Amino acid sequence: MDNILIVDYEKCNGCQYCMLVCSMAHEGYVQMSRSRVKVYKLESEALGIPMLCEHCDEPPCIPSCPVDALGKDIKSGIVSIDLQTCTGCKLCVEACPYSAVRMNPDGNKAFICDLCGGDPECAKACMPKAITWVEAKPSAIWMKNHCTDKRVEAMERLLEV
Amino acid sequence: MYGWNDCILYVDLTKRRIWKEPLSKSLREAFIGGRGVNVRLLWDLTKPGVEPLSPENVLILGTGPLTGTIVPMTSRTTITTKSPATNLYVKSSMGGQFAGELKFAGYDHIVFLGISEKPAFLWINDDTVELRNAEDLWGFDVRETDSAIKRDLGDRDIRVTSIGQAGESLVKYAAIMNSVYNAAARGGVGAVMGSKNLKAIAVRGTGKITVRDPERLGEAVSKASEDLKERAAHFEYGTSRGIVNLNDIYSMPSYNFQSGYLKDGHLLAGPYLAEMGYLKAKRAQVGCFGCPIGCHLYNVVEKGPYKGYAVGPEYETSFSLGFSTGVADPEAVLKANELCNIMGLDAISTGVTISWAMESYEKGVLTKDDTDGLELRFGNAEALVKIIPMIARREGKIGALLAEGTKRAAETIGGDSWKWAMSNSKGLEISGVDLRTFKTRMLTYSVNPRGPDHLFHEVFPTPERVYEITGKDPSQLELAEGIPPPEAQFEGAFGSVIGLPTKVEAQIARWYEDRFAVTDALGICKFSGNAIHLNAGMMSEMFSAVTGVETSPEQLLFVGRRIYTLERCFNIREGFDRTLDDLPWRIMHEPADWPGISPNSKGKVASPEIVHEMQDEYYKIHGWDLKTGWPHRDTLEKLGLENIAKELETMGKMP
Ligand code: SF4
Ligand code: SF4
Ligand code: SF4
Repeated sequence: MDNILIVDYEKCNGCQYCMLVCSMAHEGYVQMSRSRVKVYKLESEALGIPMLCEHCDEPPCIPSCPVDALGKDIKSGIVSIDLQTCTGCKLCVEACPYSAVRMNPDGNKAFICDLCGGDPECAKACMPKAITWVEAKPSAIWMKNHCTDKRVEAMERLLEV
Repeated sequence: MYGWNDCILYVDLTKRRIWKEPLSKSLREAFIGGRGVNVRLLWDLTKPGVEPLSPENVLILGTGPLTGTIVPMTSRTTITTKSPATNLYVKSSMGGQFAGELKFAGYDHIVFLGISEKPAFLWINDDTVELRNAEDLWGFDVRETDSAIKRDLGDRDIRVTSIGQAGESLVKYAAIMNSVYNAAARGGVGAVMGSKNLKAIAVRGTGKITVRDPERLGEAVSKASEDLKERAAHFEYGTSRGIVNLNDIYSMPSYNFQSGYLKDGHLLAGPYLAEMGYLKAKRAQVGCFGCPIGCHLYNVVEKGPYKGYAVGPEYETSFSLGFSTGVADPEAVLKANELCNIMGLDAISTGVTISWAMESYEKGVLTKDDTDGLELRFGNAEALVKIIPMIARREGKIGALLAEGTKRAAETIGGDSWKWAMSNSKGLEISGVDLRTFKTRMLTYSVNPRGPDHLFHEVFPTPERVYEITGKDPSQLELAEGIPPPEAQFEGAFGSVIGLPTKVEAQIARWYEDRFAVTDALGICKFSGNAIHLNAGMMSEMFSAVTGVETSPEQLLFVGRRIYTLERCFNIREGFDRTLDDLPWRIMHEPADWPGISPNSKGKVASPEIVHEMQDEYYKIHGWDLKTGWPHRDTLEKLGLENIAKELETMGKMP
């Protein structure tokens, strides 16, 4: 992968604009449940935590799928779901540690971030730069992992409240 | 349908009946949505002379057709009703996350009629809408209400609009809150909600919003986003930053408008709060729905007597709760801000009313007996923090008195205290600009249909703008070039040194008010400034692309004028005449001549003569009668308000 998506929730203002543009870019209309990024919110503390597919090195979702609908492209590193094969059993939803797999509201198929085919709309739209699309240098990869860990921690707290 | 949902949700609280009606084509075309459709519904659904806190008053929430699309900054919900503070028209608007969720649930507007026998809340789960018992929520603050509803209904994606204790106790300036900290604050809309025994509205929406021409919209949004990015860079720390500069030039209203300066007042502004470690981030950081700018601050006070956390403070909060009360202790002001938010009070009216009480106490008009023993002096931070919950619950003598707002409180206490009650004849407390040093705003604050504040026409005329407004008349060019930048305009330089012709002042006011009305009807945040809100071309492009109703900028602005004029007509129906278009007495009669004030501003007042002269010009260009301030029949007819004219005529309210 030439570029990676870094999501630093400490810069996120919780506006959900990324969700609007993600849905619009993929569906041609806006429906929050079709956004591939979901901003979890704790409004009393003005907290927003954007969660989306991390395209993991060793994706736990892949072995969780009983019909092998999930796969990772070795060259691009992108994880994707074959909608033809997906039966909507939701096992991958549970397997994903990043709350990143969601169910399509009508088709009952799983769906995840596809990095917009290499030109992420959310990164372009996010003005506070909570989501950025940067060259995959070692330092950037460290930053991505660090930011992802921070989000997982923040999510644990949010889910407790 | 594109943009709109074509649906008004009606809730009769008395009969516990809930039904839907389409948002008719005529209503959409004549009034767009939000503030526009709301005022038309208010006119139709109330009878003349309706008591604001009676079952016969209605409470209307409205969103706009752009909300739920990729147009950024479309978070606004407008709340419209007859105000218990002024007995006139009021619309109050809030950001937060509510508007988007309501759109996705499939509604454009909600109308509440009647009054619920017991405390209730409305639960909108897409198509399923029901009234639920809220007896166990009654007495909760806004934060508790928000989390209790989310917990009980088992979904943290629910968005809640509610009142706090202030709305329950019918405080005349109670706010309606959503996303905990976003307020529709002005004019006592929260008291109307409280009078209906309606604690909250919870909504979860999973539907979709489609637009007519995605490609065209995409282009417009890209253009606007570029402008917004540039704008965002200048708006770190949101509204709160302007305080520093204004205080430095002795133009920040303080001590109940007796001064323009507060020692250490700059500490209440974002950059300083951040420096001292009270803010979550070193910039504004909380955004409303779909707003990548995020103008709101988030503060935490970790320990001590003022421990707490909340979104804010805004410019107006720091003005009213800090400068006006003479309290420069940041922790106390942050606490006061939090209390106003979670108890559901308008921070402007709260601070201005407390300041009135402080001045009354220092002048001996109020005694310790009236204040329940509180040393209610300027600068007493402890008293400030103590008295806010008393107001919200109408506790003690002083809580009950101040809950009525400055105008009524001054009438009750008597003496000369009306002279420092900072509300005008309409009865709304003024927002934080010293009009004595800002000529155009003397006009706009006086004619504002809800009372003296900045959100019907917040004028910042730049040279280019004045040139444009005056019709690019070459003879005006020199005049336009002489106009100082906005910061200097505050200092009085605009009105007193340049002395624009009154006709130009009137034109400026009207230029802004048309755009403000359209912005509110579309559901857009005014912080989008020149990128969207003041850019009629951009608004019409976005509106046309979203709805498919091809509309020129001129047509859109015409709708804006229709909305603004109907608001005035509502006031006329409820007894308004020109005498109510005035300013607080102090602003009109007591000169700004405190130590340190710039020579430009020294000795200046917003004299009734100046204000009248500007109003005459302004009424003339509007086609309103100079004596009564009422629109002439042909003015209304030109705006397509024939039936409004007919009704006013029957009431004998046609000049
Ligand atoms: S657009 Fe950016 S700031 Fe807004 S919710 Fe998404 S990540 Fe957060
Ligand atoms: S990269 Fe594209 S698909 Fe992934 S969340 Fe962002 S906008 Fe959606
Ligand atoms: S600019 Fe501020 S008030 Fe406006 S929508 Fe954005 S965050 Fe909300």
